[in-house]
Amino acid sequence: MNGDVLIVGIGNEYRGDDGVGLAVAAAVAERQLQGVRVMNATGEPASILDAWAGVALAVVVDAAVGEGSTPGRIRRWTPGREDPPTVVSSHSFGLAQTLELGQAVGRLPQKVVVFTVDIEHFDHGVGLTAAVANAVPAVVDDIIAELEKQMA
Amino acid sequence: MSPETRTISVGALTRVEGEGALHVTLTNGAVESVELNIYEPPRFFEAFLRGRAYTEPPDITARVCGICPVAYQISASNAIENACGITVPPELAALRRLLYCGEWIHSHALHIFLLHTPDFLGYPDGISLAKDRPDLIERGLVIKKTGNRLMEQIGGRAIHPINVRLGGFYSVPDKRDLEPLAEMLRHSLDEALDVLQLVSRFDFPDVEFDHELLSLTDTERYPIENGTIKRSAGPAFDVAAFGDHIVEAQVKHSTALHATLDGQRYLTGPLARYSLNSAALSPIARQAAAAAGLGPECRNPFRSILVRAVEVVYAIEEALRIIAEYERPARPFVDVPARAGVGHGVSEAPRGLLYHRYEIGDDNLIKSATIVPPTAQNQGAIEHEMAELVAANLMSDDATLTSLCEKSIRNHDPCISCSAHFLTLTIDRK
Repeated sequence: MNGDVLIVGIGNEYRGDDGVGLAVAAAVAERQLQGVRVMNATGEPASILDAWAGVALAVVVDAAVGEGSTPGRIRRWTPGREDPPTVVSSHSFGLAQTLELGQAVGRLPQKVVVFTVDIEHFDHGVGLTAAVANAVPAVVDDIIAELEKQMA
Repeated sequence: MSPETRTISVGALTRVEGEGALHVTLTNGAVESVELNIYEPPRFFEAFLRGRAYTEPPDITARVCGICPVAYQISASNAIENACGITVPPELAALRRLLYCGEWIHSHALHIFLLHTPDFLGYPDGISLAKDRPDLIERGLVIKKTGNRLMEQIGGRAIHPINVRLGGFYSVPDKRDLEPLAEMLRHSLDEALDVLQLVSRFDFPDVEFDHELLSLTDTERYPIENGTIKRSAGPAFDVAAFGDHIVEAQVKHSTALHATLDGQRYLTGPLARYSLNSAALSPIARQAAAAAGLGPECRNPFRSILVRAVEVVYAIEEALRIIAEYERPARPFVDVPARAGVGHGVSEAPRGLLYHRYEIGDDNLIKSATIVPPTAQNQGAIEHEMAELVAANLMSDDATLTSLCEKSIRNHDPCISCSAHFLTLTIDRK
């Protein structure tokens, strides 16, 4: 896979652990992987649909919340039969809706893989809680492994 | 609950920016009260601006809103420049107007296609509309992208631009940087004219409201990035007299202050702007408005989607005009040396007039700040419109009334996050 991978970090760095997607995106960007573009997103759908339309693989990283969540837990999800994870969204327009909208208007990547990290809180203020910060390198490793798997 | 009481509830209003609720009480078949509950917590912007450097409000207040940050940056800049006795030269004012056109285009495109059109075509949301009418949503995304590109080019990025500063910009583009944008704008102008024709065929309820209208006006052009204040009934007043006429008061049911104009409800936003300034539209926008069935004035809030579509056409034309006339300014900004005193600034956010007032102290720090966003100003008018609509449709069932109220609110594209200092719906019939 060359020149056709997009990593999308979704979040708000000013809302505590909601910044985890951006932290992972920044860490992937630091690796300067050839052919891999990295994008920071607020979750606003139009810019994501624009950026990922037609790319071979989009890896999305977002913060997850909900009952039974364990701060720092990493989950991998691909669109299909399984219900989408509950991600943090300030305007009731989450990743699942962006995927649906993308499907309707034909603006999807060939493949989407979503990593979510369970978070502790999304209160005002910068900085990740320890459990969430500790998960960042592991998500980066998971993404690298994902890219290698797709390239194989 | 007595047999005469009827309660209708909606948990949280959708397709509005931010979080709020609505509570309608009907007693013995008459509307007793309509309350728009804005329950987003207060955000204390005015308080934490105190003690900050006089140069900071444009960047800090941009964070009030992810949809209309340019409005905050420009009203803030206008106010502080006013306090410091500086007027930005025309070439930099034109560049501000160009950036602002980008915000109008993207904000209006979002509301027209994803938030408002589903109400007219009978869809619960933009996604289900997109499944049946991908052509329509695709069109909206193309227009919206043009606005976003404009904001990226002039503002440095599409959300919370970083290139605006007191006196102008940190950097200004070369003329050749704007050429690809002009191409996108020309394509979007055709799309926007088609869209206006398309939305003009929607079925609009036949209602009008008699609120006083308040908007900026400009001697030469349709008001966007600055202007003087005009109203539909009373005499115009100076921006510095805003606080003498517009009074904000707390109400129990909302974290947003309610504003009145000389003690009365009033409306700002696209309907007010259009009704007070339609003669200032460009010939193409004016002709397109007439072809879409709009007269020189529009007081039917359901037809605000037409006005927004006209404003998209206008903003695209304006952007093309400014780009055609653009010559790179010798300096990206003019110096704005601090001066103790009070300044007032206004501009026309996509949702209406946005007023900022700052007092700068001898130490060059902000002593006090006042921000009056359009949605806060419109709450009284929105509640009045819902009360009238419910009263005219009392025989309707709860689901119909609920839907009518939600549509009535969406007519005004309220930005709850901006105003919270906004939706769940309950209707009590007693």
